[in-house]
Amino acid sequence: MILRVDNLTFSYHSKIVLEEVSFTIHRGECFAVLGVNGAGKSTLLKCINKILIPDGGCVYIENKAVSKMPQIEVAKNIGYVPQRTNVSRMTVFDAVLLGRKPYIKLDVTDKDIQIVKDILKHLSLEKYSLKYIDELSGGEFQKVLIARALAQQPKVLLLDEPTSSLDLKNQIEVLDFIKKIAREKGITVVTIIHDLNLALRFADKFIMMKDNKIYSAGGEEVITEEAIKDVYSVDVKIENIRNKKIVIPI
Amino acid sequence: MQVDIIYKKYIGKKKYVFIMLLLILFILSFIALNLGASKITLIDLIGFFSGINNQDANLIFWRIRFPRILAAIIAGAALSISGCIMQNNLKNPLASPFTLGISNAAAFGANVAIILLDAGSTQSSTKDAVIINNPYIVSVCAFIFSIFATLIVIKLAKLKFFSKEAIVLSGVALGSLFTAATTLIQYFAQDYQVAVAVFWTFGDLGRVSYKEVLIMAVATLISYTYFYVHKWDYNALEASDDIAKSLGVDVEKLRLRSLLLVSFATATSVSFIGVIGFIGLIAPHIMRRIIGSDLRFLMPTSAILGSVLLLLSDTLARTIISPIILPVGVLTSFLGAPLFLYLLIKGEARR
Repeated sequence: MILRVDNLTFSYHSKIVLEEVSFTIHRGECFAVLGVNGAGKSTLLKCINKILIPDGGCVYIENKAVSKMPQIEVAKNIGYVPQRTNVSRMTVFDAVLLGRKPYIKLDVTDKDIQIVKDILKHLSLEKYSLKYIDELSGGEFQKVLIARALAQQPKVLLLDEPTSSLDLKNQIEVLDFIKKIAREKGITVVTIIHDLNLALRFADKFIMMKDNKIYSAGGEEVITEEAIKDVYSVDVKIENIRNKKIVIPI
Repeated sequence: MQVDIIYKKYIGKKKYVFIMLLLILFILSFIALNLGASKITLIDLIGFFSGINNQDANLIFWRIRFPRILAAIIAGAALSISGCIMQNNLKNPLASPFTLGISNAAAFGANVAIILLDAGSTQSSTKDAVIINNPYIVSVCAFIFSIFATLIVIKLAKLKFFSKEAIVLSGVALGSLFTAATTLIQYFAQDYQVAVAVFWTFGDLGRVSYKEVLIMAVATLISYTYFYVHKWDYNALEASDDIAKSLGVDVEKLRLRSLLLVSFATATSVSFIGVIGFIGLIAPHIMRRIIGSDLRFLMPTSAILGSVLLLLSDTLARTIISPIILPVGVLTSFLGAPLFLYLLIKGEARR
């Protein structure tokens, strides 16, 4: 067990955003968080790595309470890619190098540069290394953000809709890459994702959120026509094509 | 070629820019040391054959020109670094050392000292009619009110968890409050007191001696050391608050300390030399164009460019209609405004 979320509660201006959310994730698993807009998914991610301080409950990484860790220690354990980010004028190399921030004392070392170099190579971003990130396409930019989170060498990677602005090719490329790296390096991935079929292709486990609570959690079996009707209020048909579940709205 | 080698070369170029700027500053200082109302040059200092008494040359160099040049270098750097940090912290291109209302608060403090505590007076009817009897009371008052204003802004911003908007808005509100208060006490003041107060506000490097230069240098150095040690935190902040937090930066603490130190460095300079506008706004802007927004390089280069710009302005102010010395604050605003507009228009065209 790598990540355990225990009774997490969060409210914003006395409006409850998260209510008693609990789940457990094992090493190397890919987790998809599903639910309609405003169900509390983004808030859940932000509460896990202390961008927001939860009102109650606790998050544990390898049985260590995140709430008791200094923020810099959290950063060494959890990488985070936000949904929206303002694009500042820095080069791809610098943007990824920023991921080494939790480890940098005063100046970057050759080791930091080496790590960034390897990650850039891994994501085939090498040729862009001195390009400014505001000149990149959506897919390349998303990859840079993921590369930055990977430079933190985290145990857990939190992704807030990493594919929402990408075309089909890039969606699949980015998700396949994340899955590959999760397997290789034993990184646990928690990602918010809206496309149910992409989620089914990508994730091992699913959490469905409804009205700021967990509706259901588990393997592929939790994605049912009834569950989707309850969570999204949409009638769907689930078909098996080539042994894969496919969700078709009707 | 390998990515890491290309990157290191790219970084090397930025260091080269810093060295170039340092060289420019050095040459400029040398020129400034040789220019002035009295036609004394460095040659007179060493030369036995000149008609000018060595004693005079010594006095003019070491007591008048040299501290003035040092003051320009230090104040220019202090204002520019402060502007750089403010622009980064508030993610606002219009942020400057005076965004928190320091200039207005300092001016109010000086007015309190000059008018209410009667620290200024006039001499008969000569050109230099205004004299500040007790410059230290004025400086101390200006400093106290600057820090006081900062603390109020921070207190207000804290209610909103140091959001950028809260800081800017409370700074602007407090600034206008202090301006109103200044106008009010000037309304009930004697003519000569208002003259002295206005004269103080101009911003003039001629007021300082080595002692003040030293105090300014220490304040600037303390602030700069903190900023430089936290350069990566500022870089993370450049991305976004959430990203900075996810990278282990305590954003609220960083903002609080940055604001305090910016105010400390700025207030110290302003208390001794008055308000000098535009340097803190424009130097980081120019540097960002040349070198990018990486604070590792932006901070040191902006600092030097700030020194260069202020020294250049002051040298012009001293020589342009010599022997009359213009207040440098007027000149920086005159030069700064068109330069700023130029950057603005050029920047718009590029997009």
